[in-house]
Amino acid sequence: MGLMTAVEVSATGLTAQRRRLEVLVSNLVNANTTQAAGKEPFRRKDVVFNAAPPEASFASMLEDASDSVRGVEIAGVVTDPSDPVKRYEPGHPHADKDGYVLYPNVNPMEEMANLMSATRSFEANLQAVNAAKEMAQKSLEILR
Amino acid sequence: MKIGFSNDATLEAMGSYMNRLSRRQQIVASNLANIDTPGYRASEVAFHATLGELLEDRGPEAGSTRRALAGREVPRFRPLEAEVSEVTDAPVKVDGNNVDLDREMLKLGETAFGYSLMSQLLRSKFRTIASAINEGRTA
Repeated sequence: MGLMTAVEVSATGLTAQRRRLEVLVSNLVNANTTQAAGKEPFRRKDVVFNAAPPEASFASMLEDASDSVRGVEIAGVVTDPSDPVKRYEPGHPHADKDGYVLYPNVNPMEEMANLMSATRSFEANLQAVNAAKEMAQKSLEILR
Repeated sequence: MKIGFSNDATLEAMGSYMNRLSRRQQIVASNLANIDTPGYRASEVAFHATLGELLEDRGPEAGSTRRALAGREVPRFRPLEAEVSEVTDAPVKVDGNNVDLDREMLKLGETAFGYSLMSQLLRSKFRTIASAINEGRTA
């Protein structure tokens, strides 16, 4: 256990944020996806994170002080249960008999804000990887 | 009898400090990875507490630091464990998470700087030894 543990932990953060980005993008692209009347429209999804101990390596098995170092894992992808948006569009092929079309419960602004949050978190983890890398580099320079 | 190099308190101290810095780096990485995890509480490695302990004349080496600072004794170094504690003074967000991005980034910078400083010092320390081996000629 050493700087590589820090890199491993940051890597879990990078993976989790990238997965979150994928889910958010899938919400955005389906913001206007409708379904034929009577079928469930697309509902927005979000990821739930959970703190988890980093991948156990042989070295970390020998050390027991690593309990407070925790990476992140995706506990699950949940569907937002809020109601779909109902719009009166009688000419739409997916309109029901009263002329209403169900649009997904996706708010593009909300998704964009989440997207930015995911990007910033990704960058923060990247910064941590770079710092660990630099520190390892400095250690190598000691005896040069 | 152990002399100089192998029994050097400075080397031991710097090595231990670097270990603690790398431990701190792990904790910061852990906090950053969990910046969006609901209910996660940030941890930190307390440095100032350990320094205070060293200066406060406690433990088996009581008084040695003070005497060393007065120049009457060669400093004795006591390796201190990096103590990890939970952050309690940071505001907790709605989801129960209290990771503060700015605070973590600051710690990240501090850690990298401290590590760089230590490695530079160690390097010059080893250079001094190398210089002595080479009878003062540059290697």
